[in-house]
Amino acid sequence: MDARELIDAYARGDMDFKGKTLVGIDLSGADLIGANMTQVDLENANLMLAFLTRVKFRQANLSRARLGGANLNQADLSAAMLRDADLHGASLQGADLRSANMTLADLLDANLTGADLRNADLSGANLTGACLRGANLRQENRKYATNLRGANLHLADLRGTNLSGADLAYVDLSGANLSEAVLRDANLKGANLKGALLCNANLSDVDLSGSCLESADLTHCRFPRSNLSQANLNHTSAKGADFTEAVLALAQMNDCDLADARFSRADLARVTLRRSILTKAIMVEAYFGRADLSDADLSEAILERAEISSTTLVNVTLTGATMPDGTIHG
Amino acid sequence: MERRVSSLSQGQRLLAAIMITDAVGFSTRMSMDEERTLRLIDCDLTLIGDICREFGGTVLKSTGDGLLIYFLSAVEAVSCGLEMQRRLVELAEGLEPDQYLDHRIGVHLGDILVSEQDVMGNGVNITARLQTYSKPRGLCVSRTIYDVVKARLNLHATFLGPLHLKNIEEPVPAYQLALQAEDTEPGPQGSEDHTCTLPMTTEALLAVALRHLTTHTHSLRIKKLVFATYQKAWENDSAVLEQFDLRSLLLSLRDRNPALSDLEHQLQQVVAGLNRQDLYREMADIVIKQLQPWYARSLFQNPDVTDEFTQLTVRSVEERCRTIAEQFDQSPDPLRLRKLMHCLCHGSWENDPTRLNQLYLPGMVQQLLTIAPTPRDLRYRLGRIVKHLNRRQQYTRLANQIMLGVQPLYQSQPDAQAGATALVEATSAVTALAEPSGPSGPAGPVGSSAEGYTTLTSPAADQAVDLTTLHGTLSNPLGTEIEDGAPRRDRSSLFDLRGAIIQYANPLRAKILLYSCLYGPFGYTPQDWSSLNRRTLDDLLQETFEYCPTYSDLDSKLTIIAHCLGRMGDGGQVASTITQAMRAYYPHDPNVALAPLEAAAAQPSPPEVAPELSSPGDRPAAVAHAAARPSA
Repeated sequence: MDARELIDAYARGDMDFKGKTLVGIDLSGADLIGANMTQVDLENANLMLAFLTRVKFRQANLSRARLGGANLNQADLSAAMLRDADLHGASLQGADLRSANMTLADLLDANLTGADLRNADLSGANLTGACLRGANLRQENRKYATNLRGANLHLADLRGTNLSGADLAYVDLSGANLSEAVLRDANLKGANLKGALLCNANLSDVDLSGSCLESADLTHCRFPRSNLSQANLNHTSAKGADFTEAVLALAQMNDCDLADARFSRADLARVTLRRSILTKAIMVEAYFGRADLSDADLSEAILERAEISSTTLVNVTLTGATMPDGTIHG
Repeated sequence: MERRVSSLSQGQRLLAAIMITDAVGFSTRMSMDEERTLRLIDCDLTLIGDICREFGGTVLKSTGDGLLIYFLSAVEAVSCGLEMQRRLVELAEGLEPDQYLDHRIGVHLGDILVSEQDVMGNGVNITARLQTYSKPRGLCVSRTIYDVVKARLNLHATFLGPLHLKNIEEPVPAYQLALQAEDTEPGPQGSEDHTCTLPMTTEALLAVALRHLTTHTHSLRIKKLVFATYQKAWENDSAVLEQFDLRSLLLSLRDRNPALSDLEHQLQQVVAGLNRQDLYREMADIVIKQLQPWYARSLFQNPDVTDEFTQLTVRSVEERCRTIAEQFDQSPDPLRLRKLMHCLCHGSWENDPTRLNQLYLPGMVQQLLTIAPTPRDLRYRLGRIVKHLNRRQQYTRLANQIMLGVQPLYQSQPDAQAGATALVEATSAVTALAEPSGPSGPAGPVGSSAEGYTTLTSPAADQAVDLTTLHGTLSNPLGTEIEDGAPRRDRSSLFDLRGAIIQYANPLRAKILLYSCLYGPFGYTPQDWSSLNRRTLDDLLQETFEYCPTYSDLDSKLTIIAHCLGRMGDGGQVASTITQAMRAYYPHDPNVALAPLEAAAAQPSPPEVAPELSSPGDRPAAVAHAAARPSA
């Protein structure tokens, strides 16, 4: 079946192309809205700027297919093979991509708003600038998780997405917007979050060890029980951030705005907090073993029962701070 | 005069190279010395006829001071024309100027049709017009001819550009051919000196002025100024300016300002509202200087005939307007149509149904012809209004309805040029009469209707300020028709902007459009693709902000590039989605057109922003009403 025949058949009202072999077919710009392409072999096919809303591509082979600018809103791409596919600027709003294999796919600036990506394999995919607002990437159980290992999510819009338990180790999330996102139990080990926006994001129990959060916006972000050891948090804006019981050993937090932040029972061993603002921060029972707080502003901070005996406190402002012994610093 | 009709049988059509010769200043010379001139022309025409036969040409007829000849070969025609001029120049050598005649020759390729005792065809008309562009002792040939002969002949040619020939719809690109190389040199001396001792046609005078204005170092500024005087809106976008040719702008301005002093006054008023007054005052002087010779000549050879003609048109125009107005009133949405018409004619938005229904629609329809003398002008104005309304789709439909409805009016113009002139002249009287009953100044109607309209909110008023950059005195009530003024957004984070764009437009198409705007139309080549793949939508948006300093700049640039991309780019919808989304990221235009003078003066306009029209407060009410207000 060639492109002409297929388009003619579609024009006649024949929408069912289930199981057809259409390898390398050129359907660029074609209108195939609502067609049934279940299990169709479209490897290497050209579907650039095609209108494919609500098309059923379930279990279809779209490896290396060119789908740039294609409109795939509400399309069923569940369990489809999209390995190495070109989806540059494609519209996939509300598409079903459950268990789809999108390894190495190019999703530059793609619109994945509200798409269902549960159990999808996005390892090595390029999601730069992609919009994943309201997309579902939730891990339902250990075997049913979205894989984003090695993916590029630079500048991606992930506001409000549910990435609980997602594997984002070593992922590039620089400049990405993760405001209001839920990343509980996610693996962000070694991830690049430079300049990312994480306002009100939930990162509890997350592994952020060795990650880079430099210049990120962490306002009211929650990190309870997360592992931020050796993370780079320099120049972050983290007003009201919650680091309760977090591990921040060897983390770099110089020049940060941590006013009203909470560090109760956090492990801050060997952390550097030079020149950071910690006014009104709550640091009850925090452990500052060999931490460096030179030039930091801790006015009105609460250090009750905190361990600061081995801490460098050169030029620290402690006006009105509650000291470990419960006294108010004068 | 003798008439030599050819051996060509009647009714026969023939594709041929057509040549028309013409003696320079024949009638003037006749009036000075009839006998000698007749002797000279007879002698010259005999020579021309002989040379023509040497080259295998056929003389079809004589026009008295010239011949209409056809050749079956373009090469022969051009070589013959050059030979004729060479021999005529030889003959004239050493003689006193009154002892010889100079000739102009035009050559074009076209169908000729011999009927009864005459020769006709569009080709003949074009040739006759081309001939008027020829320099004395030279040839003017169309590009069609030139392209055919250039490989075979060694020519001294100058490209004249596409010529707008009288009564010929499409511009005809043409070349000037001269005997010697130095004659082809363009420059002031070439067009003014030795040749034109004799009166030029009105058309030729305009052509000379146009050549000067378009080749001037500040030609773009001149065009901006002329455009602003014509449209009452400042336009910095060269792509928009390109859509209007200077010639028709000048012709329309002459219709509007019959005397040069009127035009001068208009130009000065525009200049007075600019921030770079000195520079543009100079431009105005140049325009006036160049147009002086053209203005000195009447547009019409026969004023009596035109007057009669005008009256006839007026009657039929009034009838037509009434029919159109009736059509509009019977349309499914008469009130909205009236709103749009009101905005076109008065430059302000009116929501009050009672006021709208009181409007005399036929008069307004007629007024359209003054405001927008060509359908293109009307489309431009409607486009600018509709773009700033929130119910854009609805109003686009209505705008198209107006375009369609008014079409017969434009079509009724018997001849593109003279017709428009006549209509404008006729209607200007009507407009002038209607004015005293209308609002006396920009503030009048706006203030009163604003009071009448209760749903006015402060953000809406804000919005209206933005709008006035384009609409002149369009004021407060418009705010209610416009989307609520969103807060101006911060450009450091573009997630919301990107989201707004990709929600309604295909992300790739949006990128292609922005890329095209920044780097020229996207060619879908592998190079273009790889270049696009390297840029994120975020990058392109940031670059666009830099590239388009103002919202109106963005708006027109994207609209134009969307047109260029056409169907493949699905441009229109994408462009409007983008502009609408980006609007909130632009500050209010600091150079608000027709804003109160004090306000405009108080706001220091950024140096990189080119001048905008501000309120010419001293403009007489009638002028402000008729010309300035429909500046959309």
